[in-house]
Parts: sequence; C-alpha cells; structure tokens
Amino acid sequence: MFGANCRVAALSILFAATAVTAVPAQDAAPVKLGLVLPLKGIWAEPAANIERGFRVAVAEFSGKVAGRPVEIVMADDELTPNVAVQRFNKLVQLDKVDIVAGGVSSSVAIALSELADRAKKPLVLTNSHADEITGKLCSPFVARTSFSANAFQYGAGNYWAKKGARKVVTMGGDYSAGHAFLEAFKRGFEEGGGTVVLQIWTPFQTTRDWSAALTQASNAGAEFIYGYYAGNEAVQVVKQHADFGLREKLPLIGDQWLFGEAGWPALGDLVIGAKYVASYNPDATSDANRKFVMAYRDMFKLDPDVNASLGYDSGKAIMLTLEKLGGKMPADPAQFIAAMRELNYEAPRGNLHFTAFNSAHLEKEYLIEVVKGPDGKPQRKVIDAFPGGDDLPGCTKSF
Amino acid sequence: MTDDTAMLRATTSTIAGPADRAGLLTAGLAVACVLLAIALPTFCSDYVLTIAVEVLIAGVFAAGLNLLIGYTGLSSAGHAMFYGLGGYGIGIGTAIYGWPLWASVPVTLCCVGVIAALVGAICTRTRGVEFLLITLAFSQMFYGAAIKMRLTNGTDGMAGVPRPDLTPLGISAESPAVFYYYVAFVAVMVLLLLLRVVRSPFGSVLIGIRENERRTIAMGYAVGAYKIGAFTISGVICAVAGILQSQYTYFINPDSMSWQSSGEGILMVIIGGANAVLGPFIGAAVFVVVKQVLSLITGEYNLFFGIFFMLVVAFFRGGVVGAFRTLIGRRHERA
Repeated sequence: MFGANCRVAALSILFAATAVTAVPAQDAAPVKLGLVLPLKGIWAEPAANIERGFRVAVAEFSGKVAGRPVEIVMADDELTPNVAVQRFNKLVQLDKVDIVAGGVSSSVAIALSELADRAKKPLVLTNSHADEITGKLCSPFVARTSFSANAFQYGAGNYWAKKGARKVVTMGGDYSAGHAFLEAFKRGFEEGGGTVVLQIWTPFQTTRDWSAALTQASNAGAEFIYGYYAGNEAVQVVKQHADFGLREKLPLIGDQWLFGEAGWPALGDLVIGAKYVASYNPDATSDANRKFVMAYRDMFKLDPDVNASLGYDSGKAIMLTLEKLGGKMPADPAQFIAAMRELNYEAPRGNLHFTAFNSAHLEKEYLIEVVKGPDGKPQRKVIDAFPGGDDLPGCTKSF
Repeated sequence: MTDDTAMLRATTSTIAGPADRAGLLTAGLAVACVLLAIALPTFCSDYVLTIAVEVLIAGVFAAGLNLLIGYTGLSSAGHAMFYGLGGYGIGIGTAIYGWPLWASVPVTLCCVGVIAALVGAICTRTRGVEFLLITLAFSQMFYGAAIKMRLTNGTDGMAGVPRPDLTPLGISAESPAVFYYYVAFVAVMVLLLLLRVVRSPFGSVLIGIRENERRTIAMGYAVGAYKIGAFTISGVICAVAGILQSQYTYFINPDSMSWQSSGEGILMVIIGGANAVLGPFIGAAVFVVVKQVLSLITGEYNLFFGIFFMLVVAFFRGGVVGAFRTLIGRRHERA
C-alpha cells in the first residue's frame, strides 16, 4: 500500500521532471503567463474577479500576440508566502512560464519580488499595494500595475483636508497594510492642513467587537472616522458603527474596501449614503472603460468591480508590452519590464503610465456616494474626482 | 556513569539478535541514498532540486523536534518559534544591521540556544498535555511579537535574507544545484550530530526518561537538567532549519512561527516514525513529496493529504521506518 504510494509519487515526479523538455523556439510556441492568486479562502472572490479581468485583457487581443498564442497557467498561493514560493518555482522551473503575474497579498508579493529578482524572471503585480515593493525592495524585474498604498491614501487624505475637514479619527486593522494605508492618509490629511486626532488600531482578523474602539473614536472630538477594513471585518465595522447610532454624529468614511460592492447585500440599507474613495469607477463613460465593461459582461455575465479592473490593467499592460516586443521575450528579462515602463495608455481607471521605479501612477481617484436607485437598489454616484498621490521614495537602484 | 548507562540501555532496549542480513540491507540502503543524493543534480530538473531542498530543510526541522518527541517523550507544539527565530535572527543580522553571514549565524544560534534553555527550563516542569500547551503558548507569544515588530515589517515580513557567499570556491549559491549541496551538507552534519547525541550516554538518559521517568530519577539522574538539555539542542537544530529556509526563500515572515508550522513538524515526525534519527527525514520526504504531487493533480490537495495521513497513522504505527523495520525483521532498533 505504502510502497505503491511511494512508487506512484516517485514515478509522477520523475515523469513531471522528464516530460518538460526544452520547447524548440518557434514563432507558434505559446507565450506562457503564470498567474499566482489566492484562489481559496477569504480572498477567493476578489481573486476570481482579478482572474476574470486578466482573461478579458488577453481575450481582447484574441489570445494571441504576434501570431503566438498566449497561455495562462494558474497557481494558488493560498495567501501564504511560503506556498507562493513553491508555486513560483513550479511555474518557472516546471511550466517554464515567460512572465509571472498576480500577487494580491503584500507579504506574498514581497516574497515573490525577491525571488523574481534572483531568478531574473519578469514579475507583474496585480494588487499588492505595499509601498516597499517599488520603494526599498524595488527591482528591475518587478513592476506593479495597480498603485501604492501611499498614492491612494495620501491623495484621499489630502482631498478631505482641502475640502475643509479639520479633525479626523482613523481606524484600521493592526497589520502591515492597515498601517501603510492609514499612515499615508494621515500624511496627506496633515499636509493638507487637518489633524488626525487619534489613530485606533484593532487586532487584525481577531476583532469581533468594535465597541471599545468606537467609544474611543466618539470621545475624540473628530468630524468623522476614516476606516480601513476589508471583507468580513468591513461589514461588521459598518454594522456596529450604525448600531452605536454614530451615523449622523460621527460618519464612517472609507475606501473601496470598506464599502466594496461585495459587501452591499450584507449591509442592506446601511450602505445608502455611504461615501467612499475609489481608484476605479465602473460607471465611467470613457471609451476604455465602456469597452472593458462590455467585454467583461459578455464573457462573464457580471459587472466588473475594482479587482476586475486591476486584473485587466495587469493583463493589458503585459499584452501591450508583448506586442511592442513583437511577441518575443528579450534575452535580458529586465528589458521586458523596461519596455512596460514606457507604456502610456488609457485604462478603464484613467491614464496608465509608470514611474521610474516600475510602479503604475494613480492618475485619478473618485469620491463615490451610494444612493438609492430608481429600482430601490443601491447604486454609485460620483461626487468628485481628484488626483492620486505619489509613491513613497526609497528605491535606490536605478534601472 | 558507564555502568549506569549500560543498565539504562538494558532497561530501555532489547538488543536485536543476529541481524547481519538486515544490517547489511540497511547499510546498503544508506549508501544508495547517499549516492542518489550526490548524483541528484546530474539527472534532475531544477524543480526537483528545489523540492529536494524543501525536503532536507523540513527534515532538519523535524529531526530537531524528534529529539524531544521521539527520544525524550516530550511532545512540543511550539518548536516553530525556534524555526522562526533562526530565520529572523539572520534576517535582522544581515538585512537590517548589515553584519556578515558568518557572524550572524553563530550569534543567532547562541541567542536561540539561550532562549531555548530559558523556555525549556519553564516548559519541562510540566508533562503531557500541559507541556504541549505551554510550548504552544510560548510559540504564540513569539508569533505575536513578530507580527508587531515594525523593525521586521510586521505581518508582511522582510526580504533580502542572503545565501552564503561561495565565490571563493568559484561557485554561486544562487544556482539550485549548489544551494542543494549546501543544504544537504548542513543536513548531513545535523544528522551526524543527532546520531552522536542519541548514541551517547546523554541520549540513553533521554530514552530512559521517555520509557520510565521515575526509574531514571531513582537511578540518580538529574532528569530536569537532561530535559532542558534536550530542549535546547532541539531548539538550536530547529533554528538551523529556519536559517536554511529563510536563505532558500530569501525572506522571513511571521508565518514561519505559526502553530501550523509546528504542527507540520509533528506530522513529519509521526509519518517517519519517532524512534529513529532518520525517521523525520523520511517523514519530511513523504510529507513534502506527497503534498507536491497532490497539488499538481488537484487544488483540493489538503483533503487528500488528510486522508493519506490518516491511513499512515492507522496502518503504520511506527511510521515509515517502523514499517521498514518490520519488513526486514528488526523490531527494536536504537538509532
């Protein structure tokens, strides 16, 4: 029994090792893209949207570039850096992919960018907003098509201060992303002339009861709470904030993660009147966005959200770069990323171009209010648009 | 001392009868394994080499843990703390303070030794489930500290842990084959050290503690000190595994200290068979390879791995090594 198991394991490993021999370089050989996403667990739904967006971008080019078919190889990083490392090795060594894309969690992205740098394999990050990725840990082999935490929240903080808000409480999960996003908001807000009177950090993913935090917040004498939460936590915070009767006295304002569309059904009427900052507006009337939304609906019978647009941006940046390079991977993989850095095109979220450190610039942000539509269902209403901030400095390499 | 040791040995093991054939077979297998390990890079793809590296690192971790579980009879559910401390130690030393690796590694191992001795002094005052829970509690404390630490970038962890600089030898540790040999060398050193430990009088006392603690106390051994010693050695070996792992992945983050990674170590010990030095390495090999193969087949590989593990526990009481011994007719082997 066991012997058989062992033999099967040994045989399949040997088979896997021998089956992948070098493919002769032909024009018709596929370009292989590895897509590493957290396909299971709490991030499964956003990851599915990222994958859909990515596939829409590849389909837009009919799945081909310069006559070579483009093949997507999926891998599940399980939101765990160690697993992500194994998957990256499998994609690079066994599947022989040309480019690795994906990466939602910043800890996964940090692990992968170090590996990509050593393995000299182009890595295109779809989300992973940690500032260090294109700062201290920047690499000529790594690009990020989304935006940095600082770009997003500095812009948001600055906007609120310029709108006349003077005193704010921030509230968020006590983990790396929470700190990165809310510290950035604080910088933007205080440089715009406001004051963050209190920063409340709640234990990440273990907090069930926000009453202590909300009491602290309501005694701080602020005009509103700026919150950073995602997924289940976001829904619970919004509900408890309403239960405390703070909706009028001390509104809870946040971003596309706190009031993400995925949470709307759970929130019911509580979502009406919510104001949030977003990097993407699915209702934007630009050609690029209309084309994207149509294609997305055609393919998946769904409406795209922020994550879908981030997946699409990543896929499209890769396809455009491949097209520019005539479908051939350059001998020096860093040249692929260098070619991507030259891109400048209209994406669904607005103009997309890169900084000198391979980080996509966040040109525009939206302030969106959720209103009751004619059918009684919540719908988005764009109140305002403002420019995004810059990335934090810290990259000392030049490429 | 030696008389006592002999008595201890007599109480704790029945010497196998003439087992020349079995001995030859074992020796032959060992030689074959060594030759295979040396030749591996010549006929395997880089992917197989990275899996071999993972097996060896997991094997070092499980072997360190096994000194406690298999030889002293203390089931620790917190040894991932030392695994993580090893990685964090050299990460902080090299990537943050800019020390060379040859300084960071010994400093890290000394610090882990001291911490393991202190933690061990507290934990080994308890037994059984209490011991399991208190080691788990310590490990969670360190895990919590790792999450909070701004210095090491909190939950995101830190990148930039270097591999050894082998340029004087004219090779680069960045190449999978060279790194594989480096890890294999360290793993063999650890294996030899452990063999030395369990075959020494000290090791006999540990086995005595496992088999019959009261009798070992009655024979005049300072059991408490021996337990702390075993705890410290096993902690340092787990830190060696943590150092190798952080060099393999170039980063370290709090996940390495989670109770799940302690649990994986225990699983490897159980799969391999707890009463042998080689057991954990075989357990680690089975654990890593079966998981990899299943994950190539299905996304839900954890479900099948769980079933596989249940089968191992149900049908191989002594783990893989136990089954092998039964096969070649040696029941009570000591190392």
